[in-house]
Amino acid sequence: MSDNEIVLNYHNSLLRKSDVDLLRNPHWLNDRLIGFWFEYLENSLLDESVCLVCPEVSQFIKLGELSETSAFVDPLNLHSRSLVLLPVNDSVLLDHPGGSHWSLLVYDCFAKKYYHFDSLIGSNLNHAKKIAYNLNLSNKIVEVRCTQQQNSFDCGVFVCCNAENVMKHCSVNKGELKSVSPLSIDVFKNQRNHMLQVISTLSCNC
Amino acid sequence: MAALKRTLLNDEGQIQVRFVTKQEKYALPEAPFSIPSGIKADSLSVLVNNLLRETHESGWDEVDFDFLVCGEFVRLPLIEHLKLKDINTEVTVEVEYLERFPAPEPEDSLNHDDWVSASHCFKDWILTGCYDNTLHIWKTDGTHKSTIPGHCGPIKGVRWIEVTGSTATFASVSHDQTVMLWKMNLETYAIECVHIGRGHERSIECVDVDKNSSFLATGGWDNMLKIWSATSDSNSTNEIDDGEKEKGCSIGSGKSLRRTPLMTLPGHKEAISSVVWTENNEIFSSSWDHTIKLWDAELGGLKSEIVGNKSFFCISRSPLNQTLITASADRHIRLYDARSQEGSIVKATFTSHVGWVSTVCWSTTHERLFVSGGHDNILKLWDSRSPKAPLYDMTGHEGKILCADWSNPSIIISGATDNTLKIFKSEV
Repeated sequence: MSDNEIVLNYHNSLLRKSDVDLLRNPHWLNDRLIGFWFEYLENSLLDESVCLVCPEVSQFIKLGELSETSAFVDPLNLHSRSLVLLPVNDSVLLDHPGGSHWSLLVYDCFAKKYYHFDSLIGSNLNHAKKIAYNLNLSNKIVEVRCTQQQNSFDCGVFVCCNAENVMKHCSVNKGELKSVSPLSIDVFKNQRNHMLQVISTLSCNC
Repeated sequence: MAALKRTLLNDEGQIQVRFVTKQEKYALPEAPFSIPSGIKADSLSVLVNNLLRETHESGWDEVDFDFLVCGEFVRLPLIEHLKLKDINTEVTVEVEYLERFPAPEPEDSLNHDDWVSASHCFKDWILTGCYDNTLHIWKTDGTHKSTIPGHCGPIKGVRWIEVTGSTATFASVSHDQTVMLWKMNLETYAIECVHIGRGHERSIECVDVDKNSSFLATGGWDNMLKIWSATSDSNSTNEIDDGEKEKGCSIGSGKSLRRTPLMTLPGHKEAISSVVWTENNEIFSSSWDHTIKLWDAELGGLKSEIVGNKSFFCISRSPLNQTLITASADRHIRLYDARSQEGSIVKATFTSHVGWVSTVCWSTTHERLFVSGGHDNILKLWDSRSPKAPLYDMTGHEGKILCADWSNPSIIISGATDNTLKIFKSEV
C-alpha cells in the first residue's frame, strides 16, 4: 500500500496510510488524526450540547482576523453549548499545518470558565489564551494540573485522551473540571493501539 | 377450525406454524396451522385470541400476546423474521406465545432544585440524592417527607440499608469525598447523621450495601474500592467527627462519629462508576478503565475480571439469573455472564438508545426484564430476548437520565438533569 492510499473515509475525515503510520511509530499526531478522533468522539456521543472543534478551525480562530472568524464560528453556536473542546497548536502559520506542541482547551458553560489541559504545563498557555480571547465565551482560564507527558512526541495522544476523559466526566457531572482526576500513564500508553483498533474496525465496516 | 383456515388462505405465501406456550392457562392444541407468511405480531395475537375463544365456551377476554421465534421477539412480518434468523420455511415453525408485559404508566414527577443524580426505592420509601447537596425522602405516592442537608457536594449515590420497626438507616456518598450513614425515625421523621466515613481521596461515585445490611462498598475518582461497616451502633472507640471546613460549609454537627474504611482494594486504573454486592460476599465493580472486576470481600482479593473496550458507566446484576448488564460510553447495553468460562464475551447487545447509556437496572421479579436510561432522555424497558428493540420507551424526561431503580417491582423510578424524579407504575 502506498503512503497516499486512503485507509479510512469517515464522515469529514480522510485518513491515508501516511497518517495512520504516525500512530504506529513514536511520531507526533497530525491535524488529520486529531480531527478524525474528535469526529469519532462526537459521533459516538451524539449530544448536541457538546462541540468538538477540529484543529483547522481552532487554528483559524487563533490566528484569523476577528471579522473573518465569525463566518466559521457562528455556525458552531458555541454560546448554546454546554461543553466546547478545542485542540491548541503552537504553530503561528495559518495556511498549512505545523507546530511542535498540542494541548486541549475546554470551555465549560456551567462554570463559565475555560480549562487548559497541557501535558507540558506552561508551554501552550499563550496560544490557548489567544483562542479563548477570540471566542470570548469567558475571561477566566484555569491551567489544570493534569498528567504530564514523559517523552517529546506524545502531546497529540494526550489531547485525544484528555478530550475523551473530559467528555465522560461532563456526561455524568456538572462541570467541576478543575477536579478531574489526572489520568494514569497507562491510559496514554494504550491510546495509540486503541486508535489503531478503532480505525481498523471502522475501515472494515465500509 | 376449518372455517378459520379458509379465511386465512389468500394469494400470499403460507407458512406452517405450531403454537406453543409456557403459560398453561393459554394452552392450545398443538396442531399445525397454515398462516400468511407476511403476518405481523398484532395479527398473530388476534389469531391466537380467536383460537382460545373457540376453546372457551363461557367467553374469552382479549389478551395481548407477544411471539417468540428462535428466542427472539417477532417484530417484523413473520417471513422477514424467519429470513433474518435463517430458518427453513418449508417445515413447520415453532412459534412461542406469551402474554405481553403491559406498558409501565407514568404516575408522578417529583421536583427537585437541581439534577437528581441518585435514587433508591425500598418498599414505599424513595430516597433521592440531588446536585444541590441535599438528600430527600419521599413516599411512593409522591409525598415529600424530608429534605436532608449535610453534604458539601453533589450526592452521587444513595442506598437504603435497613428498615426495621420504626427506624430506617441509609447511606449517601458525595463529591465531598464522604460516606454518610443516616438514621431516621419513621414516625417523627427525625433524622441524624450517625457516621461520617472518611478515606476516599476524591469524589465518591457509587455505593451498595451487602445482602445482610452489614457492609457498604464505595468507589469513585480515586480508583479505590473501599468497604465500610454499615451498622449504626455507636462504638466508643470511634472519635467524634469535628467536621471539616470546606469552602465555608462544615460537614457534621459535631455529634457524628467518624469512620474509616475496613478495607481498601486498589486495582482499577480509572474512576469506579458502579458497585454491586452479590449474595456470596463478593463485589462487582465497574470502571472507566474498561473493566469490571469481581472481588472477594472477605479475603480482599481480585477473583476475576471482564475486559471490554468502552468505559463502563453502570452495571446491574440480576438476582434471578446472576447475569450482568452494562451501560457504557456508547449507545449499546451489553449482557455478560460472569460465571461462564468465557466471562468477557458479550452474550447479547441491546441497541436502541441514541447517545450514551448512563444507567441500567434489572427487574427483581422477572428474569428477562430490565430498564435503561440514557442521554437521549428516554427510559427504556427491555426483554433480554429482544436485543434489537425495547418493549417500551418511557418518555417524559427533558434532560439526560442519570439514575434509575426498579428495586420495588411495582414502580420504576428515574432521575435526570431536568431536576425531576419520575415514577412509572409497573406490573409486578
